[in-house]
Amino acid sequence: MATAITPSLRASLERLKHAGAVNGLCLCWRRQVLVSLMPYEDFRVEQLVHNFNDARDHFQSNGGRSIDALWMAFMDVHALCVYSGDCALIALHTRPEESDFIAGVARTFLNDTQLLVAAALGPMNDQSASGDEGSWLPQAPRIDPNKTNVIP
Amino acid sequence: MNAPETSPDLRIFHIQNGLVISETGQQDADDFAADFQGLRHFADRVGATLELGASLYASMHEPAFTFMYLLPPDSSAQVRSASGAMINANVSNNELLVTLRQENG
Repeated sequence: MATAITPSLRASLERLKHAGAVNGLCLCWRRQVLVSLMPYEDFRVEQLVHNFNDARDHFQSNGGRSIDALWMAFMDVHALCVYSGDCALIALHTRPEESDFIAGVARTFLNDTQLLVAAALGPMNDQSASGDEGSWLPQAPRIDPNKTNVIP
Repeated sequence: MNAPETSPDLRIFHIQNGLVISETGQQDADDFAADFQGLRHFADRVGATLELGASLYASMHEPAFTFMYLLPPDSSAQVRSASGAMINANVSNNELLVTLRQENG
């Protein structure tokens, strides 16, 4: 029973929150927030995701650079963003000496959760790809109680 | 163990009165100024979004390049002095931050 033993993305992120003095975490795909464990309102988290994506796009705009991570320090709080393909993990943490450890953990997390992220994106891909490549995920049968349902 | 400033790839920069001071040539100074302005702009945007204020320092990592800047604690919006480093390797934040703080005394 793979579904019974595979932890969800949120549960995995909540475990990651114990990796050092982490105040908040956000997993995103492109500019879409997948899981947010941030101590901020949703609109601020969305703005934060846009800011980090804008920064990456800015530095990579000439085509010759590949940004792996950005780390920014503020009074008492640090913001770390680790990119991996279309996904990114943003962490707010307190101690500067823990940034390299948290960045390493974030990279491992992003590598190890690719299937979970793909599953989380499944319904959206089904709509956009009209069942071409994203249709490998199991789908519930569409049963309309007001019609005669024919199973082909 | 020696500090990483002994590495031949490490380039240290200082900003004084708005001018970038470098010992490694005009091209490096221009590259540093562009990355400094860009990264500081986005760091301050992140700070404004989360209501954390202006950034104190920030770093950017590529597979074979690392950039970091460090502002003095009392820096205003118009930076009069700052320091930074670029190195053609992906080094840790902690190592580069310690190096910059040592440079600043």
